[in-house]
Amino acid sequence: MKKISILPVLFFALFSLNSSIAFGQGEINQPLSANPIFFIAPLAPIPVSFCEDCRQLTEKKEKIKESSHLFYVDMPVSFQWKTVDFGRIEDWSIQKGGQDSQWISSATVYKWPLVPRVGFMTEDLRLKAEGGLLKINESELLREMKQVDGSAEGNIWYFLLGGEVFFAQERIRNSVQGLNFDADFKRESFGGTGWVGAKVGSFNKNYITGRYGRGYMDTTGFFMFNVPGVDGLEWIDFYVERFRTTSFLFDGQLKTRWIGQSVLVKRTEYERFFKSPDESRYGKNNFRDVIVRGETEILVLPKRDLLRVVVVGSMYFGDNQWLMFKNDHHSVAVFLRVAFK
Amino acid sequence: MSKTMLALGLLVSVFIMSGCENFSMPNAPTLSSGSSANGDGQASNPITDLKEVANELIGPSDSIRPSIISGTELMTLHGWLANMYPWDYLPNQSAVHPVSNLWTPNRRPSFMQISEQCKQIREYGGAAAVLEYSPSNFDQNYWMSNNFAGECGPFFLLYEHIYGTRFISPDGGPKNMDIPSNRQVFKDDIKFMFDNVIVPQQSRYVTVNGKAVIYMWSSNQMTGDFGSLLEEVKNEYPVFFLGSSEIWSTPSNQNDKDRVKALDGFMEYTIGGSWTYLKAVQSSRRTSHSWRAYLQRLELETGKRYIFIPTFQAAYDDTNIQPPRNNLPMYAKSREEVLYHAELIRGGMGSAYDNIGPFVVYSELPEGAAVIESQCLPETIDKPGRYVGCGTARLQILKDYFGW
Repeated sequence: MKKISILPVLFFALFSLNSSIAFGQGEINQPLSANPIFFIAPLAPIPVSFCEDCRQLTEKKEKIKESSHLFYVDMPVSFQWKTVDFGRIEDWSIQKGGQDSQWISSATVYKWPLVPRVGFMTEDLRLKAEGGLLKINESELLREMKQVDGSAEGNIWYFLLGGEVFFAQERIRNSVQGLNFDADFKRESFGGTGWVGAKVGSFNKNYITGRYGRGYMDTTGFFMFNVPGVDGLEWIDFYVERFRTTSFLFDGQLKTRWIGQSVLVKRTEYERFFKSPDESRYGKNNFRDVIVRGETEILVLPKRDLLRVVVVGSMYFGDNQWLMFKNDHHSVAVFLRVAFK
Repeated sequence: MSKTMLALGLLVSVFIMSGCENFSMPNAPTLSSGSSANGDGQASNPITDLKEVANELIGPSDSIRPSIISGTELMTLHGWLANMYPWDYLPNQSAVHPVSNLWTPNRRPSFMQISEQCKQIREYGGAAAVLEYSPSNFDQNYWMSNNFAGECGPFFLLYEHIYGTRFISPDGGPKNMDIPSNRQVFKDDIKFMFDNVIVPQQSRYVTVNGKAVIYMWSSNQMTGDFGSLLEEVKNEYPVFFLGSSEIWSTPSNQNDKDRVKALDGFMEYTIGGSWTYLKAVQSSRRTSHSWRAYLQRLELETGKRYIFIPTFQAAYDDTNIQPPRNNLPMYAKSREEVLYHAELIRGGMGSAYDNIGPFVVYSELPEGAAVIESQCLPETIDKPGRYVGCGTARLQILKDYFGW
């Protein structure tokens, strides 16, 4: 855990050093940042009447300002995902969360992973969304997943305000073996977090943030037996779990024209909404997740800013409770990014 | 010293002899004018006399009341719980017609027939008997003459129509337990069951942590301050109350909340509903899940661990009962629907339900739910869209799913 806590500090030190010497606006051909810390001071304004070139300079500046928006679309090209171990669904204990028996397993996407990510950012505003359909093949069982994540945040001066929401549904056919009939499993989850914090830098370039968030997460599990010749079978709920969440999140990014590196450290505390009187029967009351995620963005073609490769590496610590709500990319995930300015 | 020895000797004799089948029982408190178990008009009985002598020598019987019942723990039972009846089989009012070796028309089951019923229950995976019982001489003497279904092994009592309404009063409706006389009757009934059934039969009696299980049909008919009465009785006797008709709605007023809190577990008699069988089993399963969630919050508040036992129901048909009740019969459309019901229960054991049971009506014939081996008559054979499961078909499903 000591290693985790030191990461933001290291990152911040590296970040501060690099920003002061290497990433001048002209050098990296990026839009100007509104924030003075990582910004080479612009030229003092020159009255238009003194110089013919001044108008061109003003136009260029406006043009640069216009291009401070960044929009990207990421298409995943890796096929491994992290899921709740199938055994926990089969033995009806998924609702107990990441404790006791095997909880995480890796699974391979059955077809093309149609879970794109999109992002839009300016210096002080960032919007992200990720979602779509996914079919995962695990132990010859097909897991069909639909999920959407969205976040929005913006800052005024150093004060940052934002939030995120998600909805996820997963269905596994014939996942529960009955005596005479098999049952499909389905879970539906949703949640949201609002946060406040501080930000230094520009979202579309170099920045660092610290955030504190509070939220709510809810997940319901259903099953439905497949009984030949019987009409009117319904999904029956067999667990409903609700949690309050508290998050601490630090992230930052360094970016040049060729390469960008971001790091996110997120610690989430889950507290059961309706406390469990017996943790061995109902699951623990408190869980904790820590996720450290690094994202490296590399320009593929030197003369084409459009196309990039993004490699996301994640390290998971704690109870991995997030798997109770939705699945996630594997420890290493690769995306193809198309970015527009 | 010698006086004490004599008292102990008498006491031992009382315990040894109290299980005797020929022991003539005192009048039931609900039938007698007084609240004492030793009613008037009782013929002189040597065992009662011995008890009285013992009481005189070493104090009242309360002081020798066991604080723990050395019975069979509920959690150790593997199999379904068979609800058995001491009533007459009235063919013209029944929807299920038992085979002749198990029940003779217009009579109560004989000793041999109860033995045969028990053999069948055990053969098909039954773990214990739940004996329909009203604290009266009528039921007490019947069950005593049948050794409390001794062939069935472990058993516990179903306190039928609590407050004894079935036999002493035409009023089968809710009882206000704020009324002192009602409270006294309940206490007397518990005392009667404890002294005359639980203690004498304790080696076979089903317990939870040494407390004798008493199943009440139906606890939600006990209105007013029943909660405090249950606590009073539990302080006095080592008993464990299973309630019923409670899960269908979350208690709203304080008396209902207190009653539910004071109960120790829940076990429904039916799966409820007047829709189709399929809708009823699904609704029952869904309601059970909600009830478990409610119990979870209640456990946090009270620190108690509540037991919740599932209920299996093969059908419902009271159309032959006189006077007519005007209920619609409820049968599964096919055997698969009954199997599905069993799957739903089995899948919920360990999560919504505890790993006990399920509770099954074995022999209540008028309401058509009985799983007892039955005659396949023209009106009870399976038809397209109406599965009855005559013969041993219902029992076979229980054996397959719960005959561990």
